[in-house]
Amino acid sequence: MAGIVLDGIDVEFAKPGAKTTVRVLDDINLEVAGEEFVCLLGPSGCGKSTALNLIAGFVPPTRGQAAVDGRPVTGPGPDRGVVFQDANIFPWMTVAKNVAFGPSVQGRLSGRELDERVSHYLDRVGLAGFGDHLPHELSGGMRQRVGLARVLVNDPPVLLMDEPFGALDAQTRITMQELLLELWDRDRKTVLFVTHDIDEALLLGDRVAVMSARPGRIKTVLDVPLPRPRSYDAMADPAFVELKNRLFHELRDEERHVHTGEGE
Amino acid sequence: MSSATETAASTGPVRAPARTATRPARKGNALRRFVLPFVVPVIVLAIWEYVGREQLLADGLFPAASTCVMALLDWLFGWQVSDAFTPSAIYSGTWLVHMGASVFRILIGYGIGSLLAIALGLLSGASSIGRSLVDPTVSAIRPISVTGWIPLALLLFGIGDSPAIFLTALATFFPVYVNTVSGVRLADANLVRAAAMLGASKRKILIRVTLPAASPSIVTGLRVASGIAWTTVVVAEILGAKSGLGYVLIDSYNQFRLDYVIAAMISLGACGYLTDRLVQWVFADSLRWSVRGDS
Repeated sequence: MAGIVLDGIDVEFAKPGAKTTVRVLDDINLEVAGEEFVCLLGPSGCGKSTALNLIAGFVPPTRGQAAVDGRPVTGPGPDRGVVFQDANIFPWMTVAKNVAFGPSVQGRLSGRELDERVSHYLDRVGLAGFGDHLPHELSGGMRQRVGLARVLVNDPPVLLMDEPFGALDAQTRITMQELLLELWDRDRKTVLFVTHDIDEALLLGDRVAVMSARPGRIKTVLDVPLPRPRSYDAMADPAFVELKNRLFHELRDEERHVHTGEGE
Repeated sequence: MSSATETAASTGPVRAPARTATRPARKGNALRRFVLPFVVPVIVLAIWEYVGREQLLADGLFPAASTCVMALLDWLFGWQVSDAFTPSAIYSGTWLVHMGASVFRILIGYGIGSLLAIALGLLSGASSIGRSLVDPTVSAIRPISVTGWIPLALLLFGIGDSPAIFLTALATFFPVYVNTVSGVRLADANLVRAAAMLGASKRKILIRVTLPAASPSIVTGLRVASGIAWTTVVVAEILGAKSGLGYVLIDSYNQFRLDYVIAAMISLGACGYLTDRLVQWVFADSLRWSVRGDS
């Protein structure tokens, strides 16, 4: 039951070459319950990836505190698995070596036990038989499957996903979304999923937190009362369409703020 | 020179199929590949042979091409092929010994220099403390040309293997160090993040992520250094050794045996070329991942 708590978070970055700072996140308060799937939705440049990097421990808050499972975040760790936008797997390692990386650097497993665990997770993400391939031999979707498997193999209670399917073609994206739903239905984890795609947020999330831009704030948090297990067909549900409309208008207002500078 | 171009030509066809496979065969291809490359060498060899036989250069000391080839064969196999005018040199049949002496010095010097460079380059590239500790000293020493170190090296190490090893280590250090540092700095920060997220300690990240991520750049440094190593060992042997290809080069010059001088030059060309191919071959497999980029 590892939940995520963001409590009064501000993040400011130094402007390169100037002495002033830019406020990227402004007073972010958000709670994600244990085993809950929350999508963070917002226009590009609103700071949603920064929020995720903060929980991952890659970026420190300027003010406020992030906590996971009641413990403040001080740095990255294997209890919070991050799936990056561009897979970000190690290009010189084979698929199997990439997946084995976590348990092997932690010295938790080795030899046959590790091999078995790796092939189990390769199987679960649909990459059985691809263990000996190098990343550059794989398609974008397959690389993202490796990125997912190398995190799952650590069995983290929290999964942080940073637009992981954003760069994939439409068909592959749907396949990957359904794969993620299937994995999550079987093995519930606390998930924070960053996206700018309304359909994706509604299809995956228990709740959707909408962010405003510059500085990033949480604007609204919406419940998604669609039944589970969900699949692509959920998009035809009238409740889905209604929620989509609401989110569409929320987001369009934000895009307008970004372009006219009203949000500054 | 002739043996160096022969080696180059003999490896040519190894690469050629990949190139021709993608392109339809064209009419002038055979001409371009098997005739044109040899036009200039043949003309040069012919003039060289003529000038040598007629004793037109350097008061007749400049030898014909064939004399140089004979000297190389004599040096290699001890064939005693020389005639009354050019008695067999004291080097007859000693090529392997001298080549071995040079290679030994290069191996030790290159090994010490590049290992030290990779270690310090990792330290300097990956940690700001290491950078402040190492970089200023290296930057201060780097502009001193390696040849400038020769008197000091001879004074400190005497005549023999040691000054050559020292100078080779010194000369190989800088290109490897500079390339390691830049490779580490340019290594994808996101891969380091990913490794930390997966539970790797700082030390594990350095060895298992930063080092391989920097390896294409490090190998470039190692290749540059292998060329410099040969240059350096020759200079060191000219000035402070009693064996090695560089020593034969200067000693035969002192004996007015320009055929041996040129035989030594040919040997150096071949050795330098083979060394570069060897370094490439050794690392080719470990760099397979970076060939097609990592997008």
